Amino acid sequence: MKNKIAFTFILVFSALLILSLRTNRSNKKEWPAKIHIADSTHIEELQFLGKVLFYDPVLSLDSSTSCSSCHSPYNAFAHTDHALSHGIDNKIGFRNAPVLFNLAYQPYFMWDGAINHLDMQSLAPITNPEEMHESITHIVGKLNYQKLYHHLYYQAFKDSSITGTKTLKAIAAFMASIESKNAKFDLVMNGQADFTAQEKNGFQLFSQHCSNCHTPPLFTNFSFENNGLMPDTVLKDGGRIRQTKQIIDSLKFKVPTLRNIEFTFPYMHDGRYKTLTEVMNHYSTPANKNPTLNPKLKSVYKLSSNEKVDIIAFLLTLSDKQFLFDKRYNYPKAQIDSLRNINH
Amino acid sequence: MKARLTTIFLFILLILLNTKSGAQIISFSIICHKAEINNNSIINQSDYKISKFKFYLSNIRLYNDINIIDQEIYSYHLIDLMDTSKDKLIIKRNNNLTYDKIEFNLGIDSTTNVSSALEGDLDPTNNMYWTWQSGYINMKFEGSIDGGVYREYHLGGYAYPNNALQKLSIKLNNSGNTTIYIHLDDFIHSIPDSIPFKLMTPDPKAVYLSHLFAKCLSIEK
Repeated sequence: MKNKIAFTFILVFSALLILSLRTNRSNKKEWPAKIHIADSTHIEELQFLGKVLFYDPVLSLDSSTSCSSCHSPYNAFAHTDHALSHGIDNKIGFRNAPVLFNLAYQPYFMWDGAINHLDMQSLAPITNPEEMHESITHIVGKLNYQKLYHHLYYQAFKDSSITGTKTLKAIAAFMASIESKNAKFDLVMNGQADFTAQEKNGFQLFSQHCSNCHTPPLFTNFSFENNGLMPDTVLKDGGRIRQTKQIIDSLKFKVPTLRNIEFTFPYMHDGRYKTLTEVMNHYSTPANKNPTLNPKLKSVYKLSSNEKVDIIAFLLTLSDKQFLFDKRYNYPKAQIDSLRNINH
Repeated sequence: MKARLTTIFLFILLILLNTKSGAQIISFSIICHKAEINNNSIINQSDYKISKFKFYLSNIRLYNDINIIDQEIYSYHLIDLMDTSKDKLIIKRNNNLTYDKIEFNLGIDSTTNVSSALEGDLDPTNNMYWTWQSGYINMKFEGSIDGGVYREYHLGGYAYPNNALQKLSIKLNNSGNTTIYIHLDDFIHSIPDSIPFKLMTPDPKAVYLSHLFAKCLSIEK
């Protein structure tokens, strides 16, 4: 009888323990509320219009460069292997093109937080002389010549007139729809997979040294930080201070997400590091100890070679291949060809 | 009986007239050296060259003494002094009560600056929205006067400590359609040498220039 009671007790205790562990795991994957929610009753049509615009080089002055030129869906919407963004006439931009996903959760955009609303984000690269060098007014004029767009604007807004505001809202709606939430990390947090011993050790080290800024599940806390990079003497990029004009913001840049980092090299705001090993080496010995350096980096923890490898092993669990090859985000060529024939 | 009906008719007519809503027109005109200058004459004179002169007005309130007798909430008007079809503020009236003071914001408030893409006068196709960073340009002036240096001022900024929004209160002589004069010479000649000829970013200098510009609006010629 005693054995039976003890067995029942152990069984119940084990069940509670497992439930408790599961609960802890699920807490880690809780996502914050979205900041950007498109105000539309025709959201799918709005996102579709935005997607067509995103892939259309008509948004650039010479109709040569689209948003997707620097934000490729196959590279987590980054410009892999290019340190700085590219523009029309072979112009080179000022900063590393960031990834585009989970943007609906972001409070501001660009490396220095220059843009305060996703609806207004696309204006920056569209008008930048080093990027698309176009004006939203001129774009509206060009789109007005295309029957296809009148059809798509009607579908999205129930009004075929084309305006700058509608154009920006549509692109934003598409960008907000791009989500990456199915990496191995997410499966582990959901109890559907397990880390290897190396990944697990990497996660522990990451939680200890990196997650204060690169906070799960978005792997950024959206703060602006000086991570100790020496300023590039050619670019002379002061980061956040360009916006605030406050000396305390000198050399601070927005903390980027680390999701899909395997595919988004080179790294940092100026793309100076080609490999994750270089990034690990930087954080072991940040070079520039100026007054705005993040306090946590002032006393550097010297990672061993094995620890660096383990952290990188963990970072690779943030790759979301389902997202990378998600056809919903690709250019809808067949649909557009068909619509062009109908609206010809 | 006929007299009674006439009295009732006149009484109803009086009520209708008193509650009639309509529109009030506030015109804006550029003044240089006490002379009103129309847009074409500015462009054609060798001493004057103005290619852009636009500003936003918002949160318009009409007062009778200290009482608000009419107001426009969430209203934003882009005044373009280079375009005769857009150099007037047309206020929709909800009553015909007389007023002796108008108050408005010169520029766009911070809440609107952090809102979504907006239509109408706030549409970014009006070229009054910065693109390299978020925020409306409250006032844009590009030109020169008195044969002086060509200046380009794009004044704006909504975030602390560089909020360039100006609140104006102007006493009026009557409550009919009226004109507010912009004393451009006063504005340009009051700008200290420390301010660059091109200023296109929200900063303390833009706040200072916005304040100078607001002081140059008056109903006096």
